[in-house]
Amino acid sequence: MKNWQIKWKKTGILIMGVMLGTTLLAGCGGNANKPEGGTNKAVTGESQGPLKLSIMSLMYAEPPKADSDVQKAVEAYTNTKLDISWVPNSMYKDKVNVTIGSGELPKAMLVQNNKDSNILNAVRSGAFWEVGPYIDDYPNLSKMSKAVFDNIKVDGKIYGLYRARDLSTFGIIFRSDWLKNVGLSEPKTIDDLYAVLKAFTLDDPDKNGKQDTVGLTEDKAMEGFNVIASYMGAPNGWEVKDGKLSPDFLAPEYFEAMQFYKKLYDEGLIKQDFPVLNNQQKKDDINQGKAGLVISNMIDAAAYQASLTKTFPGADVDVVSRIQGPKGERTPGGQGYNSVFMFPKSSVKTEEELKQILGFFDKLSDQTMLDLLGWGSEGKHYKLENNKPVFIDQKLFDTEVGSSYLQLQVAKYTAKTPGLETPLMEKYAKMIRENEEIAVNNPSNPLVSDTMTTKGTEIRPIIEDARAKFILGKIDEAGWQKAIDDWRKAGGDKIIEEFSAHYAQIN
Amino acid sequence: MIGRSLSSRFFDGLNYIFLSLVALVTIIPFIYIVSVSFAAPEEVLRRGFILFPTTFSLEGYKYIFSTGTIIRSLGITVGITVIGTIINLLFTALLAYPLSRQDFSGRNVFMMLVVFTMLFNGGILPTFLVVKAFGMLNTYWALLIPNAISAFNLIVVVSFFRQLPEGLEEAAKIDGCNDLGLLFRIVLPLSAPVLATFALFYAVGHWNTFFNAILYINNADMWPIQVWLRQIVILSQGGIGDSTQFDQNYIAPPSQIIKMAVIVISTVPILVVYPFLQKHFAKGVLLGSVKG
Amino acid sequence: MAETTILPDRAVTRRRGNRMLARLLKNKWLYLMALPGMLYFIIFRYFPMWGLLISFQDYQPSLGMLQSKWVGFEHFQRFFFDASFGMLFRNTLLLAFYNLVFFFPLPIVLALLLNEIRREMFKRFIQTIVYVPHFVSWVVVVGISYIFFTTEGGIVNDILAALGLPKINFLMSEEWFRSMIIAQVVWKETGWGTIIFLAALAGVDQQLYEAARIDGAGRFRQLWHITLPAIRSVIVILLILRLGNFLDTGFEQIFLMLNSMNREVGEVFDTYVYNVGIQQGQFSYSTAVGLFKSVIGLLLVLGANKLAKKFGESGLF
Repeated sequence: MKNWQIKWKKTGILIMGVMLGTTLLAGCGGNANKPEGGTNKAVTGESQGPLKLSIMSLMYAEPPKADSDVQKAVEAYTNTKLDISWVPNSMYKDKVNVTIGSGELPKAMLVQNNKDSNILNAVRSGAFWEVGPYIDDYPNLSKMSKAVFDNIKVDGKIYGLYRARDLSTFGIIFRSDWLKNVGLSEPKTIDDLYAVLKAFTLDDPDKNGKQDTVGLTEDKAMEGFNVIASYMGAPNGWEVKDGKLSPDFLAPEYFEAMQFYKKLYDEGLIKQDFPVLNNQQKKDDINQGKAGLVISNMIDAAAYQASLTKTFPGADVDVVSRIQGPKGERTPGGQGYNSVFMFPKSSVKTEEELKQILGFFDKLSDQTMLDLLGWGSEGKHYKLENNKPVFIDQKLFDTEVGSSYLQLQVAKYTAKTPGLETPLMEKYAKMIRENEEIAVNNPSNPLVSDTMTTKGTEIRPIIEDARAKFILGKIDEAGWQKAIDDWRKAGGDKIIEEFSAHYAQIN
Repeated sequence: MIGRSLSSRFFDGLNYIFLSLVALVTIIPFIYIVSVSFAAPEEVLRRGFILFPTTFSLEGYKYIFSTGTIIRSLGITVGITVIGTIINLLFTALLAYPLSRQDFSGRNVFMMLVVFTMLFNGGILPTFLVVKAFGMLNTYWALLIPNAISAFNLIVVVSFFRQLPEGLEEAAKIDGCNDLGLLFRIVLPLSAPVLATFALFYAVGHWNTFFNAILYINNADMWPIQVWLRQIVILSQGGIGDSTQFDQNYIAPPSQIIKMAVIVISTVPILVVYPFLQKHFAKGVLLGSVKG
Repeated sequence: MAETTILPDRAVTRRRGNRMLARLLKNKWLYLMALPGMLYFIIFRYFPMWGLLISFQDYQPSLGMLQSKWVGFEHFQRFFFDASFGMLFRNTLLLAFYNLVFFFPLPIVLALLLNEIRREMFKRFIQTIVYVPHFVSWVVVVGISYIFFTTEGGIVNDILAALGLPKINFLMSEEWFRSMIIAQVVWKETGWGTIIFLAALAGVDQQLYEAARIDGAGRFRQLWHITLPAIRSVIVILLILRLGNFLDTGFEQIFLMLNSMNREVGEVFDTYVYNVGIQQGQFSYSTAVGLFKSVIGLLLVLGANKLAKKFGESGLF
């Protein structure tokens, strides 16, 4: 009997050992990896046929077929053979974590936030290629903004290619037909804005005889607030004061913006339940004709216009993005990028190969590719009208190209050949371009603070909650000051210290 | 049956009224969901809350079914659900029955170990590495085997099996049945309501599967329907992330419509299957007759 | 029970003095049947458990487990001494407690009421309807709650206003947060929760009712003496299992319901782990928090199981 038992035990232990071994080994990634076929060949030179390139990227609809026309065109143009794993955006972080942990990394991996704790540590342990020294060798990559490259730097070095985005797209979107109905003109100052919000709330702007509208709508993220604060002179996220970093909410202008919002709330000029609303519900307020003004990404204006004219005949939408404040015209600048392509050393074995991969992204930024990824193929996704491209079927484009291949593009997608646009679209596109001049940058973008990385999101709600509570009158100025103290004690002071030290170091 | 007392009838009356109210409260939000999913986009945009739509349109459903992917992935989901549920029931019953037997030595230890897995789990990555080590990545096995048994379901099935009348085994042994035969010929047929219940639980789990599919399977042609339904909602809400390009000629139906249509699509198949399972719930079990 | 009835073959084997083997042999079919399931648990549930060790490490996925640094109880210390730990623990505990007290019994009550219905059609109709909310995602449940409960044109507040009552800020107040959460759970899951109990009720021997009726027992006595005892062990087992997941309040629902005005009472372990661990990629820390929850769950399960046995229930093990 013992025999049988022992045998069972033995096999059990064997299986367990093998399993544990494999799982533990696989966990260490890197060296344990066998190189994928073709890697060695590609190294020896371009003459050896197309570069085999595995990419992991996110997508928003459904992954395209590997033999789709667009992929073929991209492969032909860039002389590559692509092997792309498309991951739904909602699960992208999980998939990245598992991919890093399992050690089977693609040659190019899109990373949403390269300063997340796990990515940051991987970078510091040398898991990714530094690409800084190579960028200037490529015609398109060398033209990418150096300031934005600064924003993705870790310890002063560049570890990837960012996907460029417009620096500042914020502005005020409002119902221009309502503005006419209440007899006001476009707001140019904060006081004008206040007058417009008041009229939109009290003067029956939709002429239905009922007081059922509200001036401003906002959501729980309060991005509109940050724009208003910037108009009123507050810093964007952080500011440099006497050589030290200081968070925006310590600035007196920020508190003034809070008082302005409080006034709007007390007088009922802002949606009274905004701390509950999500982005979609905020948009619904405009689309349903309940609210007349929203401060957000100006690109939304076109969608509002299209859906409002369908539901409310005569409705129209306009944008304004320059508001005169105590410090002149300002607007908060973004980071200038969304996500970073990074190149793991475990899969990209040689410098030669890295250069070829960078070459792929460089070529993808050529005008031909910009148009292919921005418009799709002619006759299928777009047609020419007055020599300008127009989508034939945007949903088809979105699902087949825009939600997938376009996401590989590191150049600004708006650099494609302009299409036939409405006056509104032309207007905000121009504003977005021109507002780069007045955009206030966040000086903390290029900085790294370990406390920020580990505790940043944990303590941020202390400030955000206190801000909302102040606006709704649940706490007073003393309460607000107490929240700031709490934030400082909970790690805020350390973040300030670390940011300041890093700032002093790189400047 | 005939001579029911007054208080008994009074209770019945109250019970009917109460349950009807419960049904009403549950159904009102669902009526809203169904109504919005069938309403015209303009009406949804204008009114927001719709209990009884004045318009009818299939825009939301058209949007969802406009890609061929949905139909194929629906087939995949049905396949995974059917095969997965069979595997689940088999594995669960095979383990649950021994664990329910008093003469199965070590059963308490095993039960404890099973309960332990409900409380502690190693996380996504270690499980992923096991699945990978078995070469199940990019196969349907990755959706079927790593979830072959739900500890919760197993424990409850064990407790049901324990309540079966004693002496079954002796009776069966005399008839020349071994334990396996006992399980399949006597225990399972006696446990029809239990099996139906857990078939439903497992099936719903498979029906809703999406996380594991994306995690374990890279080939999108193999993804089940829930992945797409989620993607469609996202697509209709925010376009394509921050790279949305707007065409004035094209307006997607409001995302509420699509969201609600997705719920209707996700719910209907289960509602269709349910009545068939319900038969088994209602049957009751003639335990007494076995005893004799 | 089988223990006491000594079967002929067992008596023989005992004489050989090799009881253990005899048992194994006698129940060889049982072991064979249990084998696939056991392998499943070993391979897919126990092998991955090394992942729990990372809570004692400064785990970096790029380094793997072998090369990551061991830090002992550092993450646990950070968690326990975090300024918000007290708040999180209180919020989680209260919500879990309310869930247990106000939600857990409802499916049982509903199942018993459904069981009293004699008209099959009506019963099936109600049953089908009450399951439906289970399939509505939390995003939509929270969205619908907004439509019903907001102060800005929400139906419930409109009705309150029409009755001349003051509006109630259900969604933005600390007082109503827990009630809203529990109410949503009740709406979504009560019907679904009845399924297990209905399965248990289906197993009740109908002859017992007839016998009781002949004895002149009324509806309530039948309920008390036949129906409830029949499902008692299922209730006990579900209760014990629920205690195991006691601190799991669910993430998505609470995350969606949280806002600046109610975070003080709404932030729980699960939302905290999401914000701090998952969003920022701090795996070791989030695993440590999870491990803490699991240990509490284990203690509760062991305690409850012991208690159940004391009251004559068979318990889990």
